[in-house]
Amino acid sequence: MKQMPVKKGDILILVLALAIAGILVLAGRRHPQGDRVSITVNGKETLYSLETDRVIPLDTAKGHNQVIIKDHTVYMESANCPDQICVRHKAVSKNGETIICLPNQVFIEVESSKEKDIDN
Amino acid sequence: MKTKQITQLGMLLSISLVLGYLESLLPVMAAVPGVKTGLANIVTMLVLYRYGGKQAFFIMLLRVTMAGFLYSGVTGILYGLMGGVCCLIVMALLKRCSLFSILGVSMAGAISHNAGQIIAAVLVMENAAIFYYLPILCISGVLSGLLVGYLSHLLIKWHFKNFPQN
Repeated sequence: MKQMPVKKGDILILVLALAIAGILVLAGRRHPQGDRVSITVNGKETLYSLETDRVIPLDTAKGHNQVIIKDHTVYMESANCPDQICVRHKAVSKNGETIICLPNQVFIEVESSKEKDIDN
Repeated sequence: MKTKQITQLGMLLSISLVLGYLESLLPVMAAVPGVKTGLANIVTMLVLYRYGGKQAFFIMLLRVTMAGFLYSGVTGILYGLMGGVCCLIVMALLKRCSLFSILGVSMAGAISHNAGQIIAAVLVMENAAIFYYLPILCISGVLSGLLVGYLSHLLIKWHFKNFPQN
C-alpha cells in the first residue's frame, strides 16, 4: 500500500470501532441457557416453551416461515424469503440469542424466565 | 449541471448498479444480515471526491431506489436509504475534516451505513434486540471500509490523471 495517505484520524476510527465492538460483545456476553422462546411476527409476540418439541408454522401477509423447537433449541426450518439468512442461521438455545428473518419480519428470541436480559 | 457531467454521472450510476448486482452474487460471508463488501460504495466515493457531496447524494438515492426495484424489494429500499443517508452524511462531514484520509472516511461511512440499517431494522421490526448485531456489523464495517477505501483511492487517482477537469 505505497503512497497510501493514512492519517491519525483513520487509526482513531479503527481503534474506536473495534473498541466499541469489543465492549458490546463483552456487555452482551451473559448468555445462560434459556427456557422459553418469544416469536414476534408483525409486532405480535407469542411465547413458547423450549421444553416441548414442536413445529410452529407462521403464515403472514409477508410470507411463510416454519420454526422448529427440538431438544431445547430453536431453528428456522424453512422460509420463503429471498435471502434465506434465517434458515442458514444456527439453532439457538441461550438467553438473548436471536434468529431474524428481515424480509418476512419474523423475530425469534430465546428468553429465560429466571433471569431477565439486561437490555429489556 | 453541465450536460457532460449529467452523462458521466448517469454512467457512474449504472456502474454502481452493476457493482451492487455483482456483490449480491458473492456468497454470503457470514450468516448475518447486512454483512457485505459495499462495492457499490466505490462509485459513491468517486463521485463524492471528484464531483461533490450533492452529486454523491443523488447518485446514492437513485442507486438505492433502482436497486430496490430491481433486486431487493420495497423493504430493501427502506433499509438501503437509511444506511445510505447515514453513510453519506458522515462521509461528507469527515471529508471536510483534514484529520481523516479516504480510508478513515470510507471506514466511518461503512460503519454508519450498517448502523443506519440497524436503526431501520429496529424501526421496522419494533424490536431493540437487533442491536445485538451491532458489534459484528461494526467490525465488518471496518473491514469493508478499508477495502472500499483502498480501491476508491486507486480509482480516484486514476480518474484524476485521466479526467483532470471531470
